[in-house]
Amino acid sequence: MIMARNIHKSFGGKKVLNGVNMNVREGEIYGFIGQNGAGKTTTLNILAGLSRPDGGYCRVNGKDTSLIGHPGDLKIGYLPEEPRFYPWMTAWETLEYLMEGKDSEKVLDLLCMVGLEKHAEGRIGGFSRGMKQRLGIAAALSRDSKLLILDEPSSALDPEGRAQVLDLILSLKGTGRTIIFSTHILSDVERVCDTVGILRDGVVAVEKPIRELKRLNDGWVYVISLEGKVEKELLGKIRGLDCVVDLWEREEGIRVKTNGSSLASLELMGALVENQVKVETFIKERSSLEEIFLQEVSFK
Amino acid sequence: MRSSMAKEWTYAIRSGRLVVLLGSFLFLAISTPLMYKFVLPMILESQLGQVSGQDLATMINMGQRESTQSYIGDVFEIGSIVVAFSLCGLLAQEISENTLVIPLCSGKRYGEVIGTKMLVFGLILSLVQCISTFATYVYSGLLFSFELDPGPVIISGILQGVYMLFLLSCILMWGVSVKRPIPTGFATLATVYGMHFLGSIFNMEKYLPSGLLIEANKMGSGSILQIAGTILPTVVLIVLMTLAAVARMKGLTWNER
Repeated sequence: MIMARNIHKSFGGKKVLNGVNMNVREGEIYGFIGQNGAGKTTTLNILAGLSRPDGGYCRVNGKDTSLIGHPGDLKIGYLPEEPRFYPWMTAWETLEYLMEGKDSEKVLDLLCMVGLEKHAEGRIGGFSRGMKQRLGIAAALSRDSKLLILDEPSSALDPEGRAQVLDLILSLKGTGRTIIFSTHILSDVERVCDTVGILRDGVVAVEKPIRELKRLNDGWVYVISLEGKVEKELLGKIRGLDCVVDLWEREEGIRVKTNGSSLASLELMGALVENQVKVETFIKERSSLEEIFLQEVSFK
Repeated sequence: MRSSMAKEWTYAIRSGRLVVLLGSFLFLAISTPLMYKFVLPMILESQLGQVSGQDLATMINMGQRESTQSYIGDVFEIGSIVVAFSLCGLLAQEISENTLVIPLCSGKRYGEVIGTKMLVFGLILSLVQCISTFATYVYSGLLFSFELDPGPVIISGILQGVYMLFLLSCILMWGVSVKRPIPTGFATLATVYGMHFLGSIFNMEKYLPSGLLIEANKMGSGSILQIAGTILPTVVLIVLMTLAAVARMKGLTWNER
C-alpha cells in the first residue's frame, strides 16, 4: 500500500529525512513513532502528496507520488497533525463541502462516528482542539479511502476521546482499510498497531511487526523506587551487572531492563543490599514498547 | 463545484467581506454627489470670498455627469485599495493557515479552488460596482438634475466590474506567490498602480485594465470598438493571471509549519 525508498528531505540546509525506507502492507495498522522533530510529519506529508522529497521514490496507493499533479489523486484520507478548518463554517457544512454535498445521511453517520452529532450546527471557531481532531478524523473518512494517513490522531484528546479514537481505528481495520498513524503515545501503538516503524536520525531505524519486536526484545523491567537520592555510583554498579541491558532514571526511581535471566532479581537486590540502599518498591514488569523505543532512539 | 461556490458565498457573508465591500463603495457613491453639491462650493466660497455659489456652479461644471465621473475616478484610486486589502487574505490566508490542506486531500482541485473564488467574488464585486454606480447616478440626479441616460451608466458599471475581475485575479496570483495577506495587498496595488503609471508614460492606457475605467468615465461617448480594444487585453490578462495562480499552486508545498 505504501512503499518509500531512500526518501531525503532538507529544510534550509538542515537534513530532516536521510534515506527513509518504509513498507506498509495492505490491511495493516502501522504505528509511526519517533522523537519530537524526528521528521514524522515531514514523512507523512510526503506520503500524502503534500510535499515533494528532495530525493527518493515513494509509491502510495499504487501511484508514484512524484508523478501526481494533485494530493487528491492519491485517494487517501489524511488527518494533519493540527487539522485546520474554516472557523466560520459549521461541522455539518464542512463535511458537506468536502463531500460535495452528495449524501447528508453519510454526513450524519460520520459525525455520529466521531461523537460530534450534537455539535453539527456549531461553528468550528468555537470548537476545542479535541473536537477539531474528531472532525479531522471524520474528514479523513469522508472519501471512503482504503488508505488513511493520520498524523497524531489522538494527541489532543482526553483519555475517553483517545480510547474512542483507538476503538475507531481498530474498527476501521475490520473494514479492510490500511492505516498509518504517527504518535508519541506508545501505549496507543501497542494497543492497535500490527507493525511499528521507529524514526531516528532521519531514517526508519526499526520496522517490524510489533509481536516480533516484543519477542526480540523480550525481557523484564524492574521498577525500583528508592528512599532518598539515587547515587551515581549505585547506578554504575547496577549498569555493570551481567543481567542488565539498560537503565533509565525516572521520577519514581529507576527502571532497569534485564535480559530475562531468572537470577536478575537476585542480582539486583544483591547490588541494592550491598550499597545499603533503602528500597520502597520493587516491581517486576514485562518489557513494554516504551523500553524498546527508548532503547532504539537512545533517549536515556 | 456547487459546494465550493456555496462555501465562498458563506465566507463572503459570514466574514463580513460582502458588507465591507458594499458599504465602502456605497459610501463613496453617496458621498461623492454630496461633496459636489454642498462641500465643494462651501470650500470654494470660503477660498474665493465674494463669489456666490451660483457663479461657482457656472465656473466649474457641477452636475450629474461630473459627479458620476468623479465617483468612477474614486473607484480606481480608493476602491482599488479597499478591494486589495479587504480581499488580500482570500487565498493567501488559506495557504498560510493551512485551511486548504484537508479540502485538497479530499479531492478539491486547484482550478476549482481558484475558479470558484473568481466566480463568486468576481460576481460580488461586479454587482457591487453596478449597484454603486447606479446609486451615485440616481443620487446625483436627485441633487442636481437627470441629464444622463441610465444605459451608459449601467455599461460603465459593467466596465468597472471587469476591472474588478482583473484586480481579483491579481490578488489571487499574488496570494499564491506571497502567501501572506498584507504583502499580497501591497503587491496587488503595486501591480495595478504600476501598470497605470507605465501605461500613462508610454501612452498605452487604453490597452491596460485601468483603461476600462477611462472608458467607463466617458459615459457612453466612447465607441464600441474602443471599449472592445480595452476589454480584450484585460480579459487576456485575467485568464493569464488565473492560470499562473493555478500553476503556482501545483508547485506549492502544503501543510508547512
